[in-house]
Amino acid sequence: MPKLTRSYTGLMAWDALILLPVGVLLLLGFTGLFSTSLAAPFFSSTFFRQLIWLVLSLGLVWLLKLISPRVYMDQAYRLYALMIVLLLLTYFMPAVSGGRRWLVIGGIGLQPSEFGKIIVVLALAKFLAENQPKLGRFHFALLPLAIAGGPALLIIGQPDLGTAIIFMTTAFAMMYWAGVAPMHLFVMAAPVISLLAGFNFYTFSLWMLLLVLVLYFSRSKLRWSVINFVVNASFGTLAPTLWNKLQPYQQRRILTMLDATSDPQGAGYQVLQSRTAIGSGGFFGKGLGEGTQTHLRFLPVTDTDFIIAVIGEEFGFIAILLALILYGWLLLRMIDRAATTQYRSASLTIVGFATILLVHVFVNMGMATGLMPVTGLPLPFMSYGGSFLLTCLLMIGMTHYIIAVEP
Amino acid sequence: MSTTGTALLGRRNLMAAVIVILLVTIGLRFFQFQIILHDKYASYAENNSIRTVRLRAPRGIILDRNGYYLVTNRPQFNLAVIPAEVKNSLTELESLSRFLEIEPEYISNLVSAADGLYQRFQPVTLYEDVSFIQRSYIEEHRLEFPGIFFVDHTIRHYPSRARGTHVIGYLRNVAEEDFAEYRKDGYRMGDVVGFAGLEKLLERQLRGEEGYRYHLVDNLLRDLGEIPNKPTQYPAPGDSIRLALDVDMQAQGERLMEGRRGSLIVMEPTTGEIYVFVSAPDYVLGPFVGPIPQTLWEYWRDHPAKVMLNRPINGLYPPGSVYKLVAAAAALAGGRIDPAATVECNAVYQFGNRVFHCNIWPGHGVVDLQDALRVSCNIYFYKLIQQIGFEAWVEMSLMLGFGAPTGIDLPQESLGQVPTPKYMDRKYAAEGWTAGHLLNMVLGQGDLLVTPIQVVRMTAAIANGGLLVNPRLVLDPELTSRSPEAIKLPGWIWNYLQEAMYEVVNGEKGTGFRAKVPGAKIYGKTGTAQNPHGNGHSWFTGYLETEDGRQLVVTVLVETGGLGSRVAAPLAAEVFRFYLERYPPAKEGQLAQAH
Repeated sequence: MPKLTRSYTGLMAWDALILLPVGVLLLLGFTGLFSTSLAAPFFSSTFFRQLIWLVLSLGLVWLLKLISPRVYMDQAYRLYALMIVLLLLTYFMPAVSGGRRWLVIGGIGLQPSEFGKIIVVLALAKFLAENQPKLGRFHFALLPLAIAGGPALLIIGQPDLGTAIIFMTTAFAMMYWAGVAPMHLFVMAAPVISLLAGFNFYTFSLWMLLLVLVLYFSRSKLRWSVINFVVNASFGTLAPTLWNKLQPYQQRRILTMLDATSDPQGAGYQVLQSRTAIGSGGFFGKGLGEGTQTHLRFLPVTDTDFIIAVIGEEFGFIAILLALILYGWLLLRMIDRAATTQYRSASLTIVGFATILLVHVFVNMGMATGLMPVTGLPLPFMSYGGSFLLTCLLMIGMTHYIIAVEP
Repeated sequence: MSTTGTALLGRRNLMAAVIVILLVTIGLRFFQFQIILHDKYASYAENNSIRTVRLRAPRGIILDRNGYYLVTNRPQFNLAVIPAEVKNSLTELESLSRFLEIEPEYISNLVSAADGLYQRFQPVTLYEDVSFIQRSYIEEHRLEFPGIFFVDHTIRHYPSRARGTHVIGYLRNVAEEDFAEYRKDGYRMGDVVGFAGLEKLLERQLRGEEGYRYHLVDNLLRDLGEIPNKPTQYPAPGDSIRLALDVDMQAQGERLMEGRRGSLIVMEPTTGEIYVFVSAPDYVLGPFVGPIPQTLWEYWRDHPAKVMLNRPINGLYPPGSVYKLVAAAAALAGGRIDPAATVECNAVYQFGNRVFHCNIWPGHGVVDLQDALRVSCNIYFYKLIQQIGFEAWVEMSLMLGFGAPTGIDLPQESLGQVPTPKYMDRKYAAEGWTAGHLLNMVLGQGDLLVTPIQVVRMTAAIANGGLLVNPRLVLDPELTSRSPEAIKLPGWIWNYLQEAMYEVVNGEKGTGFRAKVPGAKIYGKTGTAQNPHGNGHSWFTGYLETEDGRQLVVTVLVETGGLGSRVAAPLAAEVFRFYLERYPPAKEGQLAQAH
């Protein structure tokens, strides 16, 4: 089993098929930010601040080449420990708009959970690569879930459900990539699905039927199947019962506890306004700075969570299509490179990064159109936000450096 | 790698499929909104950019009986901001707050309080009624204060010499606590609404109907002006209300009552039209133009002289000897006494082991009923009440409208209190009540309480021969008309009482002689109600009759004024004199003027 031993050589050709979509997506994002910043003085605008972050991030990515990928891949567990400490520290910081996501150092706010995305991927990659032979066992396969679940729990407490979900989804994708039996993954994910499906009778019935069929055709042991079925059925039936016993304000409190940006009363309003902005944009859009919805501030947080609504309104479906094609192109290219990479840990890391990007894109754009609940996940390369931009560019940079050390 | 190449390839294909499926799902969703449902959302968006500007209706104006303005409107300029637009320029607003002499925190609090999504774009009033000088300064320094603008609307203006405070009443803001109640009638938070007096009673007529103007706003929040295809709905001003008041007489009444506490009411006895309605002390409505400032309202509310108390309808007083008219009516109606029968008054009346006095030493001598009314002899009525009994007295009190609302067109009239045997049993259950209480009551004291307007109404009934009218402040009969009620008593009783009241003013040693004026026949009755807190309450109620047959009731009450004959009666005389000057009797050969 070849390991990542070759030292980093310095100069290499950048993969244009990864760089090009990222560049165009950044351009599209900055156009959107430029538009939302029209009314503000330039130097205090989000456009200008994001530009500073971009320059800073590109500099950091450039500096990253000085460190061999081997170093951060080998040191993944130490980085992981550091991340846990930083996440714990956020609990001692003052709350910003109802959540404690920020670590303020010298006036600059950083979100450890953002960089945590990279670190969890690195740690998972290391673990899955090193323990490949044991992954066939169900009990052992639970360990990677714990690696992602630990920081995820801390992040739920911040509270930021969206990011926690990202961690778990990524863990599942990487485990699948590492060769964990799909049946095992299914069994692990089943209780969560039961919990959510339980709130609707028909969804729940369909889901239980599917579960029974899967259990039957997988030819598992009878005892194993029965336990599995009972666990899922009780999750599905108990959760809604308990939930409905709560007072509305208690439910709201729990929802807000899970995610500070979720605003059960405001969310409906935001999504309606976002849909109106997007829908009124039509095929070609209204033109730069002409979006009445986004500029009238009917729609809040346009530069972070709802940047796609600005783009959809001002540049139309054509721009959305372009963005989706670019995301697809980037992600498929990353998966492709992951499949052809010689090193197991490198391959897993790239898959992890791709999954993180994919979930962000799907949840954010789904949220803007009412497909997904409002969770406050930003859109990669487009949303305003320094930590997230840096994280995305670091992931792209690392993907590149990892690929580059190939023989 | 331990996995085979084909397994990896399979996983790669599945991942690729998942990526494509998710992105295509998103793409279809955007296609649905941007292409299929584009028209629907485009019209949503258009509506979003229309800002509806409310045009408040000017409130109806209030005129007196001769068409003089009592309440009108004038424009007022308020300084307002849109919170979302000044959020970043609070420091600039600080110098504005210095200029207007308001706390800078007040502005920043107002602005930060409005952080709801809709609220942030709703104008917030910073300062009400900006003066001309302030306005010029701000207009000059417009560029220094971004995001502020003036809102003009009309507010109340009181151009008349007469205040009419308690008649007109005042306006208040629709407050948060009673917003739910007003909401269904289309009020919004911060709207003004009549809160007392006629402003409250006639809110529906005075309010008018608000209008709307539609403005287009662009993506940078600039106002692009009115939308051509959505015409403005202009507001409909409230109805003008014509009152029965005469502003000049009202002003005179207010002047007469200056420095006193009490009430002065002038009413036409057959129609119930009120010419003068004074509750003293009153307050100036000037600062109450729009919504009333809370601090000022509290100051008046807690004022020791009870300025907010509408004395004519809410003041509860012992009527004193004025009430002897009721006892006399009861005696005549019951047929129990012969009005010509006499009683000898030697100033002292022994009842049980108590001694009751008359009001003059050494007494009135031999008096019959009419004499007793004229000189207000107590001894006569002590004996009278014992003959006619408590029930007859109570019955007559109720017949003459005491203990019941008069139906005047003002909100929340008090009922007064006519004690009944049942009431006395309950109140004096412990020690028991005796005929001694009755001796007190027949003089209009003790547990008996009346409002001045009830006395006016009784006097009117005597003057007009038995018609119990509803006093009216509003001239338009459609708004407040009720049918007067005829009191079922034989006509000679009214004639007897009229004659007695004439004697009170014009007869020898009549207590009401100070109310006499040349040019008309004056009728009246005085009263001095004992008051444990000081001087007696000074009463005079009476009416004038001109040669051309017009009548006018005047009732004066001065709290702790002392003798009714000395204090209240001369005030009534002033009113009679002024009325005759203003509405002189038709000369011979001229037609009698209806007014």
